[in-house]
Amino acid sequence: MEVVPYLLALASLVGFMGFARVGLGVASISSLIMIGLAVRNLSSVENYFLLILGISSLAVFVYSMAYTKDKLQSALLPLFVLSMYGVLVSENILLFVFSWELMTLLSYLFIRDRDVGAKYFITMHIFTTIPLLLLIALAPTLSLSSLRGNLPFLLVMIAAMAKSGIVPLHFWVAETYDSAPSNVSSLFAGAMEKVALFALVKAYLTFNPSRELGLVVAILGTLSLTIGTLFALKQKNAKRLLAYHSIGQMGYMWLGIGIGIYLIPSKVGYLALAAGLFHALNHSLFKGSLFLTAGAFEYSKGTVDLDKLGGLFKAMPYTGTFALLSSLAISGVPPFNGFLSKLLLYEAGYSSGDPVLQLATAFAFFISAATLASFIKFYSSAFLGGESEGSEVPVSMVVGQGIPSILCLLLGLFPLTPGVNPYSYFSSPMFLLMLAVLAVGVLVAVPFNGVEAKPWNCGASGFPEERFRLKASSYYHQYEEKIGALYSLSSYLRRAGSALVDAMASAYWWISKYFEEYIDEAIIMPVVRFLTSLTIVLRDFSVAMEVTMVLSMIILAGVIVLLVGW
Amino acid sequence: MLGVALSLLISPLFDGIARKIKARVQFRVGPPIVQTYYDIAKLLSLQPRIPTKNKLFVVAPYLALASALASVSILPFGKFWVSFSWDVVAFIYVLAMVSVFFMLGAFSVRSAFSHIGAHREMMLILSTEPILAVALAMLSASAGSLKMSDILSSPLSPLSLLGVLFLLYSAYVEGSFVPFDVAEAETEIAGGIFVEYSGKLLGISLYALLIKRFALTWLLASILTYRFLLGVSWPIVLLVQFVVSAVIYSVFALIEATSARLRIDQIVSMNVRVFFLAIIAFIVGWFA
Repeated sequence: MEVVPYLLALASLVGFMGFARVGLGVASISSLIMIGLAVRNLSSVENYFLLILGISSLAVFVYSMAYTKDKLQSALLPLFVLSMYGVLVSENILLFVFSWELMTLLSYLFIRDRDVGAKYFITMHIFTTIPLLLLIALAPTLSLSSLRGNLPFLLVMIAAMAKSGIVPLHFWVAETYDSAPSNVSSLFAGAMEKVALFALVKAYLTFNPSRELGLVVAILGTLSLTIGTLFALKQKNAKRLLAYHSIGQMGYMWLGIGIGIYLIPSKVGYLALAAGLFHALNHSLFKGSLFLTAGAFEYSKGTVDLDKLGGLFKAMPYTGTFALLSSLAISGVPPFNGFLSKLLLYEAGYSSGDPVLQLATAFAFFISAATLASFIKFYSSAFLGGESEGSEVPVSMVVGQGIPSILCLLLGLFPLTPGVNPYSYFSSPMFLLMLAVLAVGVLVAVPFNGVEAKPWNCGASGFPEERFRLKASSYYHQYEEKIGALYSLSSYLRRAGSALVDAMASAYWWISKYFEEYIDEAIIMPVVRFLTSLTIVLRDFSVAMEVTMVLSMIILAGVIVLLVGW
Repeated sequence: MLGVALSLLISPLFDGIARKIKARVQFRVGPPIVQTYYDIAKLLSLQPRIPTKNKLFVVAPYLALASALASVSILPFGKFWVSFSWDVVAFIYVLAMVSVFFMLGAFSVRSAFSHIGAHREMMLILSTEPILAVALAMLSASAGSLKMSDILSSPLSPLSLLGVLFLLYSAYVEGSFVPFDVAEAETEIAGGIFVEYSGKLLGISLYALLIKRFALTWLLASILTYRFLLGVSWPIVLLVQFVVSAVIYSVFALIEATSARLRIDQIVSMNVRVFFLAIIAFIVGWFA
């Protein structure tokens, strides 16, 4: 009995009828059920990613109850999650590809800027649809487990590369994540990327490719984590910063999985695979929460420009605390979950015995410092550095951020790594206990009773006080100067990639125009005209539109429910 | 716990020795060796002034000191005592937490000098971590694992010697010894990350910094001596570690006394060049 797809379809329907909050509430219940189903057996890869999807969607549904002002969006969110659920549970290759395409289509509908959305959609079509359709062509039967070998794995790898934003197919990520509303970006970073990663892992487990492809995956991961994070250092738009970090952290996951593919069945290989998967779970938690924080900036201050934000901790204490937890987690500060997954990855990489993998792990170690730099910048330029006006966001938005952030700390203390015992490398409960005892000990030994004072204005009495701080765009410029060569190389690659995509897009438009003029007009339009003529009886055009939409959505929901329920 | 107690006791002594050596090199008499104890005691008796309502400002020094002490517990004092981890990476990350808390505390005040200091501290870490990463790769490649006990007791090889060399350099930079003390640049930015700290909070912050330097020196001393003392009883090993780290700290003091502070962009370009050197050394060392 598959409750989850029915509940999500129902939630979407309720949303279309206008009851946005009720619909999101039903959707939250379905997320809770998803989490409950997943934790029963976490050693199965499907369940692990189901847990990721469940927690991520729960946080976003709760958050959206106060954040989303657009009725259509709150109705489409449950459908989006349903499509991702479809990708996770399907054994049938047609259903897999159909759910994937539905996921892409629905994600496109959320993007506010039409040009950015079109570029995203075309990129996805070229680099995910074509490989997946080739996969269907290659399959002897309709079941995914009937395929074997390197070529199917490579096809899925290309599709996963495009969807998770791995270099060199990463050029669409920053603008798309910036242009989508923040709760949707949180779902992109927290769930959609992970679904692509699931495709990669499932392809590895089912198709059994040769070991050397693991090196390719690992090197692609290393390139992504370097380029993504170093580009993130430059950003002053909070959502673009988070988007580039998504590329970077996805590189960590690919590095872990690549080392795993290369070295399984040795113990180090299993450790690396577990590290990559655990990092996927951790990333969806802290990145999901951080995107929701960016949404809180939009809601409360109307901007995500870090130069214009500042001193928000006093005005938004809960958001500030949860953002601090997430920022510390992504920077890899013990005892949070990000530190544990990175530690396991370093353990696996450094002990791998292969110089290429060890050098890749050295880069991963270095980029961890760059992540710390970026989030010190993000957190301090938004929340610290004085006090500014503002008000805390509504309760549901706070809860939506809080669920993943608190889980970051909890998972750091009690990690979910099936098959690996992380406590043999680092015992986080013991560390936290020791830290707490030491800190409290010092506090008891040296209690202070301070006097309030104003900060010294450094002799600059002519300036207004608000300017006595470092602006986000001034951070790290000396460092960026020194690594300028890397930036220009990456920009060149990015322009080359964009030009390639533009060329293929033009070819694509030309072909589809042919189909539109002849086939579309001949076959599909008559059906559409018939449907619309049925609703002409209603005088009011907008009501007719809504009825048509509801009718088609009911039909679509019914089709999905029937297919997934099968 | 032995390590925690020893580090609390000994780190001001090392700082006192360093100050005496620096003074002698500069033809001064210098303060007595126990002067740093008096300084810390004096600071811990003064009432601090708190320039912001943000609790992070007040909490940060305590957490920084706690992290420094926690990181010391991973190191061997004679032998390895019980701790939450035995990983070199864990040691480095917990030690980095000291800097993280310093930076968060510095950013929580609205003061341009403390922001600049914290910003420079971050760039220092950012440019040093790659070198540290490659040094760790060298050490773990020759030892076969990342466990502190394996790395400290494995026999020497060209790769591990190179690793020790680059670790020495990174430890010197991470410890904010002159010429790399841009973050708390006393005269240039009036104390940088510590500019708004005073009294008890400043005493705790300075103690955390001293213990961080002590931890780095103790790690270097252990890496140099531990492998030759396997099988020796632990009080003797402890004594040897103490003497060698005192010598290392004194050598650092000599370098400090004869150097001037570098600018942050000079530090960054120097570290980038050393990083590329380290990568080449890793490739050469691996195939040697």
